[in-house]
Amino acid sequence: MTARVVNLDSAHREVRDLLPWFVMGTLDEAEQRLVDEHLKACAACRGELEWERQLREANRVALPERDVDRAFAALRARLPAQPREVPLFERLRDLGERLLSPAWMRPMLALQAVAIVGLAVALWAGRMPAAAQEHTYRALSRPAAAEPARVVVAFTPQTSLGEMRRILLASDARIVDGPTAADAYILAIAPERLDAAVQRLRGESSVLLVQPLEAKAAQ
Amino acid sequence: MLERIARGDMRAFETLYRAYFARLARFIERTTRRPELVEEILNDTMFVVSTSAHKFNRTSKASTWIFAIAYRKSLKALRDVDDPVEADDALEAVPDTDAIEPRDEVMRTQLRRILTEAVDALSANHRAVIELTYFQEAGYREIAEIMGCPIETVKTRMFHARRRLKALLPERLEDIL
Ligand SMILES: [Zn+2]
Repeated sequence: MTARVVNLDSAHREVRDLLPWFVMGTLDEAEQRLVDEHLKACAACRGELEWERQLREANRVALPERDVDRAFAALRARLPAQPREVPLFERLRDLGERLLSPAWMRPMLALQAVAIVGLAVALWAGRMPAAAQEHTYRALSRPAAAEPARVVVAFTPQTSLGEMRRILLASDARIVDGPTAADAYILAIAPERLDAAVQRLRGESSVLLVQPLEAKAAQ
Repeated sequence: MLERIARGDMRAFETLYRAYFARLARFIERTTRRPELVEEILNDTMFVVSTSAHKFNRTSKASTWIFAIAYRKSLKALRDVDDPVEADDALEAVPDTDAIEPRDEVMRTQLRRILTEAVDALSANHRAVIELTYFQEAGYREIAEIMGCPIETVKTRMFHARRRLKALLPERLEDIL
């Protein structure tokens, strides 16, 4: 008997706390059922429900409208100017073509294009940060020769020069080309440091994109 | 959308801005009840959205993420202007009931006004729960995410807000209800 009273009481409290979202229809099905059942038996909660409806109505008051154009213009002035109308895919493709134009690199074009398309797809799908990225890059192989590896990086538009410099120094990287039309830079990194550098670059919050480019050894 | 914004796509950003403007302005105004600060807080919020879009991890809805930023910015603005966020004893602001006339339409309007004033007298985090629940139609789990607090805290805040509203409303009004 006592146990049953306690149960009823805790059910009452649970339902009472859920009533605002019950009135709004934002509970899940099981909760909705729980409240429905309890309301049949509890006059207090039914009274509470009436009050909830009043609250909901009272909160529907309209506020004066604001000028979105003016507000956006104010914010726009604070954001860095950067016309970026070209879709990412085209930017990456152009970048790939530019990088791969020397004759000796031409055989790699197809392979590289596949990697770049894969990257673009991963970006569009929003799976860049974790698994997809790891997966994509493992498919590319490392250079056999001791000449520097090349890596494409893009920084967030807000990255300062000082920050960029710090990141480059920390990664043992030199800029060898860029900024490209796509606002990316090509870094040269000693092959034996490539893995560590790529990992480090990917850990930087102001680095948007890290793409090792060497595919020579794959041939 | 946030992925395009992360890459600096200004058109995507403007679309998002316009889509959220009215909802966010309202949420900020109801949470802070500082109309003069609303646009500044809103633009601070959207500035963070534009610069941190690449940090958005899809574990929550985009709207939850954006409202969470707006909530933090609202609380910060209140602290900056020394408006208490937690303190809950604004009882001086009890609405005046003498103005109520016993005619239906008038009564309804008065009731709304009084309830609105009563909500204004709550603390900022209580106002935020009320606004998110009744106007933005968010469930309590989403509200917990936005406010960065446990689900139980949301329920407790809501319960206290309701109790306080009742206490703030004069007896005569309770009869009307
Ligand atoms: Zn009950």
